[in-house]
Amino acid sequence: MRLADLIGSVVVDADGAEIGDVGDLWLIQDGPPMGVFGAALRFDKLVIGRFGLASRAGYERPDVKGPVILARLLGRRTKHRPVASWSDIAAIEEGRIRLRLRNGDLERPRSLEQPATGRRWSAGLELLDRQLVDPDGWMAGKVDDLLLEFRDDGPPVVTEILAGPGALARRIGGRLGAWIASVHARLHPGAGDPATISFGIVGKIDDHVTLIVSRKDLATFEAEAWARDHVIAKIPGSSDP
Amino acid sequence: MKKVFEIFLGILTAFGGFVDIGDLVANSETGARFGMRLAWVVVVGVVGIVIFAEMSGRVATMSKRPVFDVIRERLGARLALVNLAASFFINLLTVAAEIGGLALVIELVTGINYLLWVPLVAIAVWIVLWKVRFSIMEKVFGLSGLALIVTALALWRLDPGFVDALASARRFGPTSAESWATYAFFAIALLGAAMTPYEVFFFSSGAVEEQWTRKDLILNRANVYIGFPLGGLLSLAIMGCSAALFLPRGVSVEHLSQVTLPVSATLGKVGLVFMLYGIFAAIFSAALETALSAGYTVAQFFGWQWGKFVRSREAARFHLVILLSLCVAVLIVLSTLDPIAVTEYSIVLSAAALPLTYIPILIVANDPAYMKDKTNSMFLNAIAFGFLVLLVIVSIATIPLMIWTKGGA
Repeated sequence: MRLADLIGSVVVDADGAEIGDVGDLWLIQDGPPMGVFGAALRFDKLVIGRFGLASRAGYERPDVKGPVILARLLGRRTKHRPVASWSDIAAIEEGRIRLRLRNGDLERPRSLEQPATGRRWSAGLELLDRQLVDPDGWMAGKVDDLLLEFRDDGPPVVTEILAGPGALARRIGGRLGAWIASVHARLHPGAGDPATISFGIVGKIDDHVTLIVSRKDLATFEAEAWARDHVIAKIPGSSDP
Repeated sequence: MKKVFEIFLGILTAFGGFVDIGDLVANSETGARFGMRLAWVVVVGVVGIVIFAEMSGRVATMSKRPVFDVIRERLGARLALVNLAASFFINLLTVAAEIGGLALVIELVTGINYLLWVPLVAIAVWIVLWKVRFSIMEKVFGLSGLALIVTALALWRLDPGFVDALASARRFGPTSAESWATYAFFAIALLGAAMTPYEVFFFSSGAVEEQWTRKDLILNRANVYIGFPLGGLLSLAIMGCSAALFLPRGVSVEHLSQVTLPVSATLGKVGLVFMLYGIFAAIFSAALETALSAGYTVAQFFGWQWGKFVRSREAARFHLVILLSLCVAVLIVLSTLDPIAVTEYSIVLSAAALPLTYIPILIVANDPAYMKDKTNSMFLNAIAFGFLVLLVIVSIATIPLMIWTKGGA
């Protein structure tokens, strides 16, 4: 399941009433071990409410305060949003998520609070659209999407970062998204799917995502190598420091 | 001592590099049509670019995230793509305007039609981008732009009378020959000329290119708080010259040669040489900045390696975008669209597109996850929020005003 498919899905409660859209996904780092990253990020809470500018501003976090008017306006729309745990979900259908609970029974935390152990992340705010950087500091694409794997013994786990136009296309959606996807498929016959980067090679997440593998060994490097080999490296002086 | 020199050099570079073809055209035109009645907009615009550039430079220094990274993170893939399309298009128009402007300057000197110079100018710009190191490139052209100080000298010689000029500047509203709509339209043009988005794309990426750290924040402040306002004074001097020479005679500014006229009329040939040199350097530096910005915006949106701090072959797609953008810009100018008209449209549309770039920076400049202890002060936030309101109003008003006034005609 791609995060892009989850965000924006309509959430329906036990009575069949629509509560809203999936606005964000909170992840918690206590899943099964996954490479150098340690414990995997697992599905923690589904946040219900649109994922617009208000949620991306991040004003529900207590340490982000200014400018005051903007913080009030945008913060009001993101504080106390209803959230659903994995066990509250009855079914995930295409574009629709059914809950076991009624709207009134859902938990409404003030904001993303850190648990006593482990670390909680907002997938939309702290992972999506972040810069990927390799161990030598080279830029290696963006976190265009995340892949979640369903598991028998618990909530889904983030297994893969999806990067490149193939993943971006679905985020953009509509006719333009379809067009980007088809151009990408045309240029990369056979591959079809977006480039995947295992979460096991993620070293660290802060304002960017650091990988432990060189960018040259990632699938996202293909187009860069093409531009280098066919155009830029042919111009004299391309290797000058 | 070395640090003091570095700061001083940075201020001069920001000073000389502030003016570009947009400022030259907008300030001369409004001076000729409205006297100093729109001078206050230049002041507002300079304050605006000062806080905008300071925030973006500080964000880039503290987090290593330049402006378009932040736009992507805070607007999301879809809205950031809309911003990219708009910013890239406007920036492309600006590249075309700068290249056209350079070609016009050479036409003034040689008498040979500017269209012939367009491809040569573009190649020269590209070679500098390809060969010359970032810091050298920035300083040489920025410092050369200081030759534009002759306009201040020309203004002093024209002697419009300080009292009269101030009286004109204090009158709010259009002259009797102009309507309120054109007054508002030119106000937007001036604001767009002072606050062009490429300036922050370039400035914040430059902070990463030069590997600024927390210690260099003082450099950021000095460049922006001192260098930019000095550049703004040059803009006002250009406006003042135009107001003193053209307004009483009812002459409107339609060609770049008229921008140099106040200087050649008062300071003769030597003045003119300085003026042409200054204009050429200032526009050349802007051409470099806008061409780089084309690469910065696209590469930062997609997460590609960018920057002149690495070998060109290591940032292949970044250089490819720059190369293609220059080619398209050349085609735009060769289509014989009037470079002055292209400039006018590029600055007006710049003003309209500003909020989408300004909002993410304002939000992130307050986020300790990026800024640690260097978040905005309450005072700065108050001014910055005021500007947000202003920019949103301008953005909504721009297109209707453009149609209503037929592009300020």
